[in-house]
Amino acid sequence: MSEKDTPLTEAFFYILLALRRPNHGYGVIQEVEQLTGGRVVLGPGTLYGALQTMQKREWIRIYSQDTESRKKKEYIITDLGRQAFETERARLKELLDNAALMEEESDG
Amino acid sequence: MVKFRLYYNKDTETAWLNEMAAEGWALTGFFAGFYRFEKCEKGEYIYQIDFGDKLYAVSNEYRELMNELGVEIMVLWGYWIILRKKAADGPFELYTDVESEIEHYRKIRRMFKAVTILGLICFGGEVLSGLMGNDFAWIFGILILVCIMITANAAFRTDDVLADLEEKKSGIASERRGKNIPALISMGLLINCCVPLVDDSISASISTVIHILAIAMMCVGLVMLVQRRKR
Repeated sequence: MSEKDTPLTEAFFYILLALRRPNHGYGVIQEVEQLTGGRVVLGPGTLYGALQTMQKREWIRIYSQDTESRKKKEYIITDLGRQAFETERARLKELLDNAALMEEESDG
Repeated sequence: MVKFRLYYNKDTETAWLNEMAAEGWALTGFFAGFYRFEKCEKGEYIYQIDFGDKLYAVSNEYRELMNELGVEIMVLWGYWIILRKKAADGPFELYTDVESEIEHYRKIRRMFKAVTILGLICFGGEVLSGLMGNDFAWIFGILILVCIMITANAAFRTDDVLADLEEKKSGIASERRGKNIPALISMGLLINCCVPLVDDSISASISTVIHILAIAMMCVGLVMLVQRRKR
């Protein structure tokens, strides 16, 4: 990830979204693939790097870790992560609002 | 079956491993250039090579995630991680966006640069030792020089890969390309200039070898420069 936190990369955006509730690695990939109609399929390296970076930034945290039953590790978004997501959402909203200007009739 | 190969480009190495797998040979082990293969169904596996954060180890989290995604960790060698996945489980790409790919190649470049600098320091030590009359030091020095050329070349190549990725990301052609003259040329020049100064203290054959090496370095550097300009 670059030094800048915003704008979020598509991968970061969708991973944060998929972690609004507890989810594990494969679950995140599946949900993102579904949400984007198969357009964004996260590779293992991309997902691992993003999970590491976002844990360092405290945007997500490990939700459950049951080593005895070998249960899959689950992650969940934190308040800081929600903040980052909302910042990005506001930026995207601005883009979309302004994009609407294209539809205005030109005055000639 | 065991095959010996020396790769310092993970992309061509990956391509070769996948070629072997397509022919029914699955990589199962690696040690210092020796690749061990076992028979498999033709095209049963897809191989990928990752670059980790730790030497000869990966974190538990990495291991668990790969396990969950049906990816097998086959080899840990230095920072390199050779992975494979059953082809039947769908496509296997490690990095699926430009941003993470850039991050991946930046880590690789950092390693090649560090090794090159380390090599240069060692080379300096050998030269000093050689000047003080240790003839073996010249031999080690030349060996180290060969290694430096390989890692420096790898770092430059990774530079090119990164420039392409940055271009893909921003849509703006980068201007860096071909700007910096490969260090090899200047290194070759420097050596050629320095050797005559110590000609009296080393034997003629050694000084000839060093001269030839320095000229070879300049030639390689020149070829690299021309190649970089051409693209």
